Amino acid sequence: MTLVKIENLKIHFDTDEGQLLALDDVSFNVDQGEILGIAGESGSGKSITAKSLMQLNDENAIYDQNSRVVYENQNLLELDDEKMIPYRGKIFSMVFQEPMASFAPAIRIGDQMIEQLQIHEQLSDKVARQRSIEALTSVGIPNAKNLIDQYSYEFSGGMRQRAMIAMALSTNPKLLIADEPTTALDVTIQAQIIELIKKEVQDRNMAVIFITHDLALLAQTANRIMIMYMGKIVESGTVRQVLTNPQHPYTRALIESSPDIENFQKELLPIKGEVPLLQDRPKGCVFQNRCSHVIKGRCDQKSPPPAEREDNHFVSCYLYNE
Amino acid sequence: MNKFIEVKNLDVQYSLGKKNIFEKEERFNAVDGINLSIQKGSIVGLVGESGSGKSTLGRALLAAKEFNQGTIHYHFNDGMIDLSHLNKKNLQKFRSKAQLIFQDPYNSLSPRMTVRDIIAEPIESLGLSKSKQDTNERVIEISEKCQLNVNHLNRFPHSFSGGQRQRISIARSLIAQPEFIVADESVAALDVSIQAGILKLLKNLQKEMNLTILFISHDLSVISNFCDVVAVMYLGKIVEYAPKNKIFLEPKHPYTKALLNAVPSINPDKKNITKTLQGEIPSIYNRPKGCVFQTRCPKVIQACYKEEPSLLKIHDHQFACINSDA
Repeated sequence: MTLVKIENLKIHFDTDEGQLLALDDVSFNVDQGEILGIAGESGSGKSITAKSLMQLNDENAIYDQNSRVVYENQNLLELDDEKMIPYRGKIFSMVFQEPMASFAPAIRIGDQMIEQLQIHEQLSDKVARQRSIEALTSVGIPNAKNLIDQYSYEFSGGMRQRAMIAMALSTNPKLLIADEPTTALDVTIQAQIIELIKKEVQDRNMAVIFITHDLALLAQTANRIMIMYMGKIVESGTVRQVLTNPQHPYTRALIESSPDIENFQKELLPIKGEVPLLQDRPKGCVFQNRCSHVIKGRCDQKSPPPAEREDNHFVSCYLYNE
Repeated sequence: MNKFIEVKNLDVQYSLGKKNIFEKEERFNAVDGINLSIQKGSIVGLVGESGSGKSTLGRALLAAKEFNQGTIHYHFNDGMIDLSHLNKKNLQKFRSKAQLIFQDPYNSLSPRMTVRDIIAEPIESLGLSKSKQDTNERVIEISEKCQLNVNHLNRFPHSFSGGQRQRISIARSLIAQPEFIVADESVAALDVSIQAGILKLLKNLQKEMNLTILFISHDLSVISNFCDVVAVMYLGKIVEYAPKNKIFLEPKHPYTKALLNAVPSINPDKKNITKTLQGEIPSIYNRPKGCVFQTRCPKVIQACYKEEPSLLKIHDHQFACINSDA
């Protein structure tokens, strides 16, 4: 069942250099109980996409008129800040990359968790505190009863990220948005956090949008993947479709440039050139200046629309577009 | 093969300061009794979690951090240098022979210097340049080797992307023609498509200049691809040291095994990451007595609490565990 529907999401950023297109016609669904991975390099628009669900983008973001983020027949982009409150921490919840920076350093962790609960639910201090302790315990923080009164700097990186997840889950969200939740962590701690997120998805039938630059991490966690490049979804499908049968030249190149511990003899092939700056966005396909299959007179004219290659496996590339 | 670097019983300490003037200064070993020998022309991967002491070891090897015990010997092409007996003269020489590539290409380049001046700085400050023209020629030569556009050398770092900045950083490290490079998380800040290019460049330069590289990284996938030999560190100790194939195909130490299990593969059919390790790395000034890994080890036995395992050696495979099913 579809939980959230994103339609024609298009965002410009108003900057000194003019209005720069950052997201171009992004449409996708998030289903209940699924982990949807969004992968791409820096500047591909994956965080902007996730933040638009909660309207957390910077104030210079201009949403296109036809853009819609639909939850239960309501277009969230029409809501003002007051009406957005339930979508910021209750129905949707977010885990950020940097666990050090996402807690206020001078407020006890417990007080921050209680505050969030009381914004979204009418709870007494005592009940909110109890709920927070339960949330911390459920993510594997031992002795939560005492640790709840500590400050974030007294926690290690892994503990902080657990506490962040506990806080995000304490309101029983329908959708958890995890933006590089393990990037700052050591790999053994990453494995623990991944297991935790997978378990919570199963227990709660919650959906997760998992944003990362690490395709290998998605291979092990996500059900479906979207590959983004310069604000466009260039390929999407199930994990297996995208990673074992990649179609878009960018996805292929990305996989060929990634080291793989299960295949360490592999020769890494860098992608030539670099991601263009937003102000140098090419006309036509955004990948054309780095693509080895570019078709002159075609790729530099119009952006290729998505084509369905297999069941629900979409690729935006003229190689597959008659 | 000839030994290039020999490290014996190396201790590197940090101070926690004094509580008051009557008390003794508290210290702890960030690097604890390390023995390591590195062969000429090899790429050694040094892997471990944060707080394992990998950067400290790298710094000690570069004489950028004083060590408290043990010895470090270098066998350079034109003679040996003993880091425990450094004087001004051979420190200068050492600086030209051993260089560092930093992690962060944004903060490690001075924003007020042109790229040309940044790259030239090592040979200028070490007095290795004969003339301005000589400097200029060498800057151009190394820039070309590092695939930098020589027409852009008068620009400032801010006009370069992360990948290009890391090329500048590499050019700076190599201009004095060192024999040894420490690359400390040098590709960690880069996107994977750019990272692949930097790794390829480093590998080509390594072959061309017969460099020995200590490649410090937390990323086992990168290490598995790039390095010849791998050392695994935990709480200031090397727990396993072997050629790459042995580390990745027949790991012996339970910590190495757990690390490998936790690394995801890009192929969804190949592997499932498993969480074999509970808990986290203990704080380094709470180092357990006996084996350092005992608090998290799935195979811990009584003896592990009593005695610190020494590095066993089976051919070229070294590991420190008394209960490995080797």
